[in-house]
Amino acid sequence: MTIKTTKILFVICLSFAAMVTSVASCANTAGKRSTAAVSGVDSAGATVGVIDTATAATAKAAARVRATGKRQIVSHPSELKFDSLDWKVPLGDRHRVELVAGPIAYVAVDSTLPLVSIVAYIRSGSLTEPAGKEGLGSLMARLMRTGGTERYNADTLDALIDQLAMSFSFAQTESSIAFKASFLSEYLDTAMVIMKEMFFHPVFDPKKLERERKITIENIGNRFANPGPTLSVAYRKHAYQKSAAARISTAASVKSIKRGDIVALHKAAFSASDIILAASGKFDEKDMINRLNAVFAAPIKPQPQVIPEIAVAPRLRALVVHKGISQAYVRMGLPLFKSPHPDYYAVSLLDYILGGAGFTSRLGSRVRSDEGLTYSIHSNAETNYTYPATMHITFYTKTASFPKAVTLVLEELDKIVKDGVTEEELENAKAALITELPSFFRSPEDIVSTYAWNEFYGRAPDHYAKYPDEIRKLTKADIDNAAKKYITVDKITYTIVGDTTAISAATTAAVKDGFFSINSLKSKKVMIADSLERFE
Amino acid sequence: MLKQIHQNIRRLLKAICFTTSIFSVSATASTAIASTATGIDLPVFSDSLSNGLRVLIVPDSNVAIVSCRLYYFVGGMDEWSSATGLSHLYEHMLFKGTKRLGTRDYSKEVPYLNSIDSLDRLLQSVREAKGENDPQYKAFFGEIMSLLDKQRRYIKKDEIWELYNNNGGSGLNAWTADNMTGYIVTLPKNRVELFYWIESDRMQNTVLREFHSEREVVTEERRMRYDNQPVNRYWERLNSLFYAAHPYRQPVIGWESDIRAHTTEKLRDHVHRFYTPDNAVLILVGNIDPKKAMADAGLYFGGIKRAAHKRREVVTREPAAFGGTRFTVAEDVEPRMDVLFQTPGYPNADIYQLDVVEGILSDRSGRLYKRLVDKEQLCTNVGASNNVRLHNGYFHIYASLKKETDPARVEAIIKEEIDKLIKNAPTDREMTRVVNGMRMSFVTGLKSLEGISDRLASFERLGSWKDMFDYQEKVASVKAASIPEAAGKYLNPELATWGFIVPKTTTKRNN
Repeated sequence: MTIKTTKILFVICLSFAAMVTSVASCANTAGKRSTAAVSGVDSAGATVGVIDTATAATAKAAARVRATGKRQIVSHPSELKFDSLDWKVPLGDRHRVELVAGPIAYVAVDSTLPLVSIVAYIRSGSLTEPAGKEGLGSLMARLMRTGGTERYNADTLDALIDQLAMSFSFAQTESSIAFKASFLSEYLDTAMVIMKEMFFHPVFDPKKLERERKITIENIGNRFANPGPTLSVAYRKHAYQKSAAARISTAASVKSIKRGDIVALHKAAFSASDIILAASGKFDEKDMINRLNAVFAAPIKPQPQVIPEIAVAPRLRALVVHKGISQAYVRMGLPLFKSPHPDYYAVSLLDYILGGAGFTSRLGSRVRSDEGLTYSIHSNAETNYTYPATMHITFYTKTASFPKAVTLVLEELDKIVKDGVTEEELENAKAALITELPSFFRSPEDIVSTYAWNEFYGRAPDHYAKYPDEIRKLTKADIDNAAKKYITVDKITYTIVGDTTAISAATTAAVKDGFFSINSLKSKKVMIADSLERFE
Repeated sequence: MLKQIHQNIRRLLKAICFTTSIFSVSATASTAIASTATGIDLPVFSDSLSNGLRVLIVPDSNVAIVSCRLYYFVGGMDEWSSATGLSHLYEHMLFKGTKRLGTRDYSKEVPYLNSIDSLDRLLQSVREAKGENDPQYKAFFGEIMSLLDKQRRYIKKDEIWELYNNNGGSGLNAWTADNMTGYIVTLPKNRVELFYWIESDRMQNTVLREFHSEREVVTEERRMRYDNQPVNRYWERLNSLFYAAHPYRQPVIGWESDIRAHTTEKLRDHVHRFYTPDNAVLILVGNIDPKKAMADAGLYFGGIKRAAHKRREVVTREPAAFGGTRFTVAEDVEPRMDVLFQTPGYPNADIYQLDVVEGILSDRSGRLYKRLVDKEQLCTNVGASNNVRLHNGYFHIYASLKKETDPARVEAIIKEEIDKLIKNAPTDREMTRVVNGMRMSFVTGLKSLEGISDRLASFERLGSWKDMFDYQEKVASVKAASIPEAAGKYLNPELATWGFIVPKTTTKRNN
């Protein structure tokens, strides 16, 4: 059945960083997640914030074509003149509905395809899990899909969902539980019944709980098999130390979870937390609102979420995790801020210029394109609305090259702090971030899910409408100031996954060549991946 | 609303059919198809230029963007021994610019390019004789990089990337597969001309600048994707054991020894054979007027010449399976098992029956999951996949094992389930589930502009983009009674390739 989904076999892409930075640039800056793209819109929401304007040159070019009757190819793409783009950032207000029981829903009709999509964000997450019970929320989320309900036992539910080719999932993040459903519109009745059952009448079948627990423990045992995920865990452990942001589930913590813990968490999350929904697809709008009201019939009274204080507080300058591989996986980090923050847009543009723009970023150009030292290098100024984020630079290179690669990165950081960005870089970054917006608001599904997420994290309803102007008004001085404020080479922490023997040899050779030496850092620790579970 | 859409599409089709003759560069009549499969209409406008470039356009006025993708029908399968990975390397090189892009003064670059090529011939001869650690190799390589540094005075770095970025390009990338390569970007609807300009220029004027540093990048990519990813490394080797003769056995990224031996000369030869308009398809999906798009395509691509010589086609086909193959590696990763069975290439009619078999075995309520994950609790995940390919495909059963699980038990159960497929027809309920799954998959595949584009391209590569619309109907028409025969014909465990990743301490168990 592969062909129907047209899986392309053994595909390899030009740039992993491009995919990452595509999200990092617009998603970070505009502050939205990437969502499934759907062609077709039949909503007609009010819009503001035109992002493009016509030029006099365009009109002249058109007149020239009309006069000569023959179009010419210009000698360089920079001479191309484009018509104005009659597109405005769509607003979410017209889709927003307050359900009778309290939750907010964004609802939009899209009859292009016989599909319905529903997402929901529930205020919960791993940051609030009790110490020693790490993994509780994830296990609950798995069981809400697989553990059966009062009306349907687990096997019946699996069979029903598969038979109708529907898709339901729950997943826990740090600060939410995210629900997603997708199904053919003709099965709307059944899907809404299933959704209500899963949300409010799960039974957490003990046999299925044990099956899911065992699978979870198996997955925990394999999580350090590849260097990429190992680097991510090590970096968070390094940056956030003992806080909730650095905790990970262990076999012991998952074993300690009782069915009663899950039932209690479900009660807290689904009857006393914020829930924001987004529904889109082929349905009648009023009918969908009625159906959502029927699902959320019982009043929900959100209680304030208590998240312990979390700070970026690395104790060491370097954390080296041993893995017998031929490359060093390196992440260099610096503390940033909790959003919303007045420096948000300036840092986003800085990040784009430094390492967020793929090949044209300074780091991509120097370390990948000029020197051929890596396939992937990018910076990422994280956005976090719950606790202070970090800005980090990540790359992979053959072990012998890592001191040189780090040296080049440090040189680029030093240069951007001392000399700032150029006007051309800034204008290019602005143009890229603003003109990319239409691709992130393609469909009703994009619009409602984006605004649901926007409200969930407490941002203003006109965040996206104002976004182009917020970007446009920034000056070179703003970006240069952000560079000076947030990039301090002496505060960079290094997290490295690689072969420690080869890293040691590379370090020795690096001293001779005048490159970065990890031995120059006063505080560092070397460990193996499995012991990361206990690292604080 | 749906009725309104259908009416609009009919009006649009009528208009297009009437106007096709105005395309001055048009070599074939434009056609438009509104699919009736699953009740969804999707207008596809098809035409081609006189130089053979095929153009497919799917208009959608509800979005403000256009997915722009140019596919060349060349990939890993078109590479001969010693030249694996050329298509992928060229995918990288196409971003290095042309005679007009990525340069401040191309004429001043030429002497450097020629000198670097000359040095590269010496470099390769030293590499072959003495290896890359030889001082002479390092000296030549250092000299090449020194020349490149001087050439860089005239290079405008990554201008193509910058042009797309600055004009709102999203999803900018390129990819290489076994049978085609794709150059992809999604642009605001008012900036599609930028795509025509850049891609038509890249089709005819590419300059292989910064070749050596990019070869290093690709080597790093190979290290990242395969050498340091145990499952990928295992899969690369298993694939090369499964295919005995067909170049599908080669990794698309290329073997490391081949990558290190690539030269600009080899690459140019490869490019001249395959990167021509008669071996490409341009697909535009989004807010675009087909008539104007065809005129633009003609303006920009119409003057590019076809390939000078007939392309060498891959005539190799897999010989019939002969005995089984077993491959076991010990790694500290999740244990797994893969079983690969030979299947015919597209469009053999049996592939639809094998799609049904895939559906019966897969998903949470599929036979394998119910047995191996639910009942026996030996695995954490399991499934099947019918991989349809141009020449020789494969049917794949895969299982992720718990660490303590004996692979022999899982192997025995998989054989039992295959035996059941051969002995008994699937139930009506199973058939309904498969057909529904196929329909849902087809519909969700139309959600993204880019997804539509890739699907059309893949079917065009297999034979015709039109096949996309009746593929699911062919699967739906498969009779349950025909499944045992198909399963018996293709799923013979004794002729399969079995792969195992086992924990390091239990390697001996499967040898």
